[in-house]
Amino acid sequence: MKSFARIDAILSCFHGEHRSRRSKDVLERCRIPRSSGHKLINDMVAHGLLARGARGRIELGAAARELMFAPMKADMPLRVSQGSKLGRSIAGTPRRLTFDRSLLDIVETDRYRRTPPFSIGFANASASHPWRRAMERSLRAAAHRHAPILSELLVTNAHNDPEVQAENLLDMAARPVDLCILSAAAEKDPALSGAIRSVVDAGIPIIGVDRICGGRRHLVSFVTASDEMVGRLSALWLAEQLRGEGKILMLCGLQGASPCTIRLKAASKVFAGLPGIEVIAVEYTDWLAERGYEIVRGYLARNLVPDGVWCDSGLQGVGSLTAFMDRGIRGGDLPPHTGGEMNMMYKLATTEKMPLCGIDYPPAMGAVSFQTALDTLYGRPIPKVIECNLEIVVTRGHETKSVRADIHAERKVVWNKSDDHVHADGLHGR
Amino acid sequence: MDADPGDLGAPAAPALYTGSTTRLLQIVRLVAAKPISTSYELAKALELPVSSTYLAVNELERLGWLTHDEDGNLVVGPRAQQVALSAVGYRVPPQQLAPIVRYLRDQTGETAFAGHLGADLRIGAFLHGFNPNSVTFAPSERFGDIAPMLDDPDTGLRHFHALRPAAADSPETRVEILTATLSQRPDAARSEELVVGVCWVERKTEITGATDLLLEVLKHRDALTAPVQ
Repeated sequence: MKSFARIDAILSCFHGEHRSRRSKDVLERCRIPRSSGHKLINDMVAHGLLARGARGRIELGAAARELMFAPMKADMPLRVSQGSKLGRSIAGTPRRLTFDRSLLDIVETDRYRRTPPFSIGFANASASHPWRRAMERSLRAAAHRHAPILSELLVTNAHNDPEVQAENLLDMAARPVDLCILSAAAEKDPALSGAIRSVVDAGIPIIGVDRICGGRRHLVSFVTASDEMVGRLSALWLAEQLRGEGKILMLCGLQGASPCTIRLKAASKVFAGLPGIEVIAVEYTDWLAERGYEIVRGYLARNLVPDGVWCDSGLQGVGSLTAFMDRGIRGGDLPPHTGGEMNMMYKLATTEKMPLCGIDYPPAMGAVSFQTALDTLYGRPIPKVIECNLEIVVTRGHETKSVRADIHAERKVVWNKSDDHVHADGLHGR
Repeated sequence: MDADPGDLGAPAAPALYTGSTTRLLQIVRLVAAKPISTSYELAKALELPVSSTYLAVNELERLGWLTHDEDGNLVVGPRAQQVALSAVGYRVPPQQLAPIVRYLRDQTGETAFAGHLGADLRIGAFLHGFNPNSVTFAPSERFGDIAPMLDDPDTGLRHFHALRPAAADSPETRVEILTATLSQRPDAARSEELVVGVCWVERKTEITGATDLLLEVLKHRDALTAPVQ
């Protein structure tokens, strides 16, 4: 496989003002022996990756330009056509409020460059529910693929305790690891913030994933997806399902975790702007199905039946739906719910033919954070913030004026996978 | 060997010192052309040994030539796109184009892209739209013979109509393309530009919304000059 690295190194020589170079200089720059190097360059010229210019100089060729074509997602969403002349309807509301300029920030990572094999630590906030375990699996799978350049992957579980996570981080710094990946147990905590500063002061880069503590300042990069979009669009869909009138129960995740805070804020803002919507309660479930179940069962026992249930994830949404069904409320009588990711959520919604909008927050960000870690340790430029793609999943017939599906729940559900299978984990093609 | 799934115009295989260049191009072209999630699928499609394909994919992923999307499918990575951008003369990191393309897609619901506009429009990174009848691009799609209906040098916006010829799975289609210029090649003999844009099936429609979006994106053009490599 050494040849791929050599091909990459040769192609990297051409940029900016260095659009052509002498073969000899390229090989010296890449530290490739001249005998084999010239043969490799001949191969690259034959395939059009390189082209020969005047006076023995080489430059990037036509095949290098062809590499520009790059779908950002391999699979096509619901309504892509190969150019049919079928009619079309107007798109829904824009999915975002504004463009986030920080997504354009690029960080130079030369100062973190290390020689493989690398030692990488992953400080996980917890492994208490299927999404977190799926994210960890995604990261571990990426690490497994790169085992030849990895001396150690140290994974810790803080059980959502920021003080435990602070100790985990300090232990990683003491070993020391080359880089830490951190999914923070709390968005504000003095002990954890102090540990993050200590790790950074020791010259160890930190890549954040999913959850953040104390802002992005100490992170080299933060891998996430738009929590604002999750909160805002799911709330908008629910309000439109209810035609702007009704009582809503809000089931949030973990109080003090950054995704939970952002989603709740965005959703609350939508509901606050609609006078016909009444939020009867905001409850925290720790993203656990059993908490969602207990809370909703309690409301139903008191005959407080909400017209709609806003869940910031399907993790607790599964519990809520189950509580309704155990109470004998089924099918079309089930109130519309939000909350994605969980296979069981899509199974129940499809079977019961009830309205659901899930926005899949991808656990695949675990693998993305690992790739970002490798890029950092190789000294490559990386984005300061990496946003993963969100997929909007709505049951057929329940799209609203503002919220259209990327895919229907009926197509998204994987019947032969377990109930706690988490979608968008990056481990399975659809 | 079935060497060119994307029909990207590669030359017939000459006598080679190593098969690595062939293999690299085969793999990158295939994942750009269709959803592939495992090395096994890739090996079968390219009639390559599974074990060495597995190693090749992992190595290309380490080097940043391949990456995975959220569904686990392999997609072209930032290094390959960086090489392509360098080949057409730009120093913009490809990671900066992705959020702009995603934003344009999210706001319009139509297929959004980054591309190179010279004698023709060459499509680069893109994301399919979620609106009904959104456009999908064929591998290495280019639009030739396009004369802009709108060409505003003050704003850098252009509005094209283009005809896509019939293919096996699609009829002839007229599409509209709206582009904004992010960067110009200073050394090019003729106008060559790095653009972002939106493409949709032609219809009577008001494009003001899309125009405003592109103008909003252009406000951030100055952030696209960060050093790279």
